[in-house]
Amino acid sequence: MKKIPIPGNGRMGWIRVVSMLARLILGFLFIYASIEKIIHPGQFAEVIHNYQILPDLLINPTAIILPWLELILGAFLLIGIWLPGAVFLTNLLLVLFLGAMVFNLTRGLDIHCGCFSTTVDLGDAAAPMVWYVIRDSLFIVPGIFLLWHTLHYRETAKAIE
Amino acid sequence: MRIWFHSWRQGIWIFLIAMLLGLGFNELRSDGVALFADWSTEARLAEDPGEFTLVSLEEARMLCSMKNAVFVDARTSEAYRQGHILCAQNLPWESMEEHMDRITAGIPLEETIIVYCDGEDCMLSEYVARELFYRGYDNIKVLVNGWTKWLEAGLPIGPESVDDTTISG
Repeated sequence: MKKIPIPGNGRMGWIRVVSMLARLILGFLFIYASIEKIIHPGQFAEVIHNYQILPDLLINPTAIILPWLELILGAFLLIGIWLPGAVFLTNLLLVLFLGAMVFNLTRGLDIHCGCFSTTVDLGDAAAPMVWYVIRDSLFIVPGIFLLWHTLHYRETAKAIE
Repeated sequence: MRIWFHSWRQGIWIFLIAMLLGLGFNELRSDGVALFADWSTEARLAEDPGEFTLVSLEEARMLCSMKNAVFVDARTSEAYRQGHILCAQNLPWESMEEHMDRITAGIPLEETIIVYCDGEDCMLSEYVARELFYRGYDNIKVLVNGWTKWLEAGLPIGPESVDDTTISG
């Protein structure tokens, strides 16, 4: 007779714990990342401008809306509201952020990341873009896990139950 | 498959909520930003001169001919070798750290420095100007789209390198 895994026990229990951890990490990360950007929208607009990716027309709307999107996503991840949508958008943002950094790195533009702070460090105080790329690649790990858990595993588990 | 559709729909709703909150909060706060702004170098520096100001082509021409300023070309070494403003020395952004000490060694902090690159949207001159500002120079001017403007005006250019000389008044 085939054993049906019971949620909260064994492998499923571990997956739940890891999923909760991933939500906590990304939730706090996104909320933390949003705060300074919300406080200083002008400086954040400058950071976006420095990336030289978006057309001028989209720089200010992005500086106004993106931090709130991060805040809401972080809150939804922590509270557990609309998880499929929140996890999907979180991953989309993480990939877009990473893509923007890699794009600038490959064209030799070593600018301030602006990921958690809107203060533009230059010279010796600035970390190289490659460091931000490595760091953001690590953030994608819990993101991908959550995506798998939320969109695939939960549905499979529901079907088994 | 249903859950993918579900997540898309929720994602759109989350984005709409963020848009509403962001735009609403920006409208209510006293230090909000304009929804659309002119991000050209000229517009930004005119609004907030901050660390450096703009210089007109005419003023730059005079400063160069009278040797009253140090001209810094922020473009790549290759672009510089192909042609540059006659009195300019090269401080390429991509290897700025490597060249900075050598270039700034003989330039007093109160010296006027004109930084330029090429193209209306070129940010290299701003990056170099900002770095020079952080090194203590406080009389920095940016010649927006400097190389093209200089060429079009038929002003003196040179393949000669002035990397090892310091032009000062």
